[in-house]
Amino acid sequence: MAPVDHGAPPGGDAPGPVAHRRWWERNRLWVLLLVPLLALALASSGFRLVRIYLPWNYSRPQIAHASAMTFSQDWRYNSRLTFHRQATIKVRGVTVVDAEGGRRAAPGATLYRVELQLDADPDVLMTGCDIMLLGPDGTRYGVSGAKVDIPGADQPFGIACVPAEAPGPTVDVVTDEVTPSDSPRPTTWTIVTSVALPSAVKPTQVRVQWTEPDYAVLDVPS
Amino acid sequence: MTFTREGLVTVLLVIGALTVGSVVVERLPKAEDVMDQRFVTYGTLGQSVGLRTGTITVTKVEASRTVSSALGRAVTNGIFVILHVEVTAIGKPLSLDPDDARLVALDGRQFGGDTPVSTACGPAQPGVPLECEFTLEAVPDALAGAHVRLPAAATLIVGPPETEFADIDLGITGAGSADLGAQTAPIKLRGPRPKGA
Amino acid sequence: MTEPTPVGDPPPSQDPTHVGGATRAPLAEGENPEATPLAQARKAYAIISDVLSPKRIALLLAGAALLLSGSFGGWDQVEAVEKEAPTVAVGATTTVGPFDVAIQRAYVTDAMGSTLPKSAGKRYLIVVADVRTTGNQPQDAYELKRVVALAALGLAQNGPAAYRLSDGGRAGALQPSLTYQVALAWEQATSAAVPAEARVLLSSVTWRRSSNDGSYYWLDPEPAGSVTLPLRPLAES
Repeated sequence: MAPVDHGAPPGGDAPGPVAHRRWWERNRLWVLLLVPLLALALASSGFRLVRIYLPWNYSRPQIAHASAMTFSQDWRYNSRLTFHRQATIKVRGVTVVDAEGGRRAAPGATLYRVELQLDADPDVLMTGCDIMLLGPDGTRYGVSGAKVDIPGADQPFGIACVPAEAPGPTVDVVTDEVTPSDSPRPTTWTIVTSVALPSAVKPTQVRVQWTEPDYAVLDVPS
Repeated sequence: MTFTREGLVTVLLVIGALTVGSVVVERLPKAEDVMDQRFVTYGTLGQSVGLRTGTITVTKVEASRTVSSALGRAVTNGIFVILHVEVTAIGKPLSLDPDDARLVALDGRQFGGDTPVSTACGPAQPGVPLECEFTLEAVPDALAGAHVRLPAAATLIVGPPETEFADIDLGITGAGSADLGAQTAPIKLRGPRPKGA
Repeated sequence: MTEPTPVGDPPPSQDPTHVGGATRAPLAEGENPEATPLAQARKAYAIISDVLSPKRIALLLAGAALLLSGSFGGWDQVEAVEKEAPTVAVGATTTVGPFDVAIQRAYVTDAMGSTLPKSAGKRYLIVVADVRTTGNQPQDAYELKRVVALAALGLAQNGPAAYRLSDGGRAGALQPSLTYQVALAWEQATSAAVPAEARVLLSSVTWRRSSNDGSYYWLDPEPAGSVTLPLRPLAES
């Protein structure tokens, strides 16, 4: 007559001495899977960060550590049209000037003229970029602040980042279609803009961005 | 329907668990409370208030029944309060919307919003102070002891409302408010300009 | 043929000469065995009793009573929204939710300075009102579109534009403790006739949480008053 073992399930058929089987032994496979499943659950609860916040903010830098780089990004317009934007950006110079574009620096600030050379295929959409200068601590300085108008001076008007006479293709905001420009854009062109920084701060990098989330960071040539 | 002891116990346990659960949920902070939580930094006239976006200083308070800017002229039956504000951005350029400011009277009345003849305030370049005028339409009896609430950044069209504010006591006494309320000399707004320009 | 047993009824009698199982007196000569109303009712009911149990019949009668009560005025509370608004005198103040409004004057004009430019095919109907914000906070004059309407044909869809009489500027935020003289200007197509008099309809709205997105709005417009006043041509001064 076999000894009665209170720990074993009724009719237990394990050969040899029957040990007490705890729940984690009985469910070994699921215990092992517990950690990866928890990790997956945590990751999936972060979907808002990954799918909503990050794509709609400038969160993907392409840092050159040099004064020239090839910038490339895939982007969408109104979630229907998809584009690939690829351009070579070269910082030709960041130099102190007295006036640029009919404006000069405000008291306490110094005006820097920024000259960039862009190379891109004529059919790539390159309109609508933002250019900023970065200080040594990463502070961003924009093109609109700390400037005063020079009375009577002309202020140029044009679509940022592309030649005024041949801007290349643009998206018509009414029809949501790509409209080519009258004359084809040259494969290489120069942009000039200016940023006023506080006089105590020297610019160390140039930031160029078009559509979220990608942006380019290049070094100011020394 | 047959009543068993197990059934009854189950029902009681479920009701008990639901009750405990609803009491616990009631006591926990709600998502809206956390989202609506405000971060206020207090200051006085002439004092720099540090916010995450930069520092804001209300340098002077003026008043008049008539205010004009490049866009036109406005006349009120109450009083226009013009705050001279100095903004210094930190980290990146900052734009403020004077329509977001609110003058809060001692009795809780609020004044501000889409005021006729308002001017812009921005973009302020980091490290270079920008001077702006904030115009609010109010009534003279609300001025004594009033303070002004300024949000840390202009509310974007898309996005959550601003939750960080500077709350600045304008230091207007009863006599001061009578003085301000009686001002009729028209004030001309200059609009945003870098300090010293 | 055995009929299905309705709940609550006595089991049908097996006697083929008796309907319903009731015991009756022997028939007299010539009398129709189904002439009595009770017997007829019983027979009629027996036919439909499998579909219409007593419970269902009670429900149907209750529903019919509910619908019928409408013809006797029982639904009047729901139909109240269609009724006419009370007449309000010119210059009297009505609270319409965000504002206290007192309608003062009405004008018709083709143009008013640079604020209302002359435009082909268009004229302006203007209502001047004293408006004061209820409550403690500024209220945008835009909300006036929700509470003030003009009964006229050919009006532009986007409602009236609001202007301040103190300086002719656009009315934006209306501050507490201040009574504003506001001019509401509607555009009317010249193809429509100028109304003989201006009939202004005031609706009151409630500040409540919307079930759409959980935010608070001024909702649920209800007629609050109607003001009739003469429509005068605007004298260009």
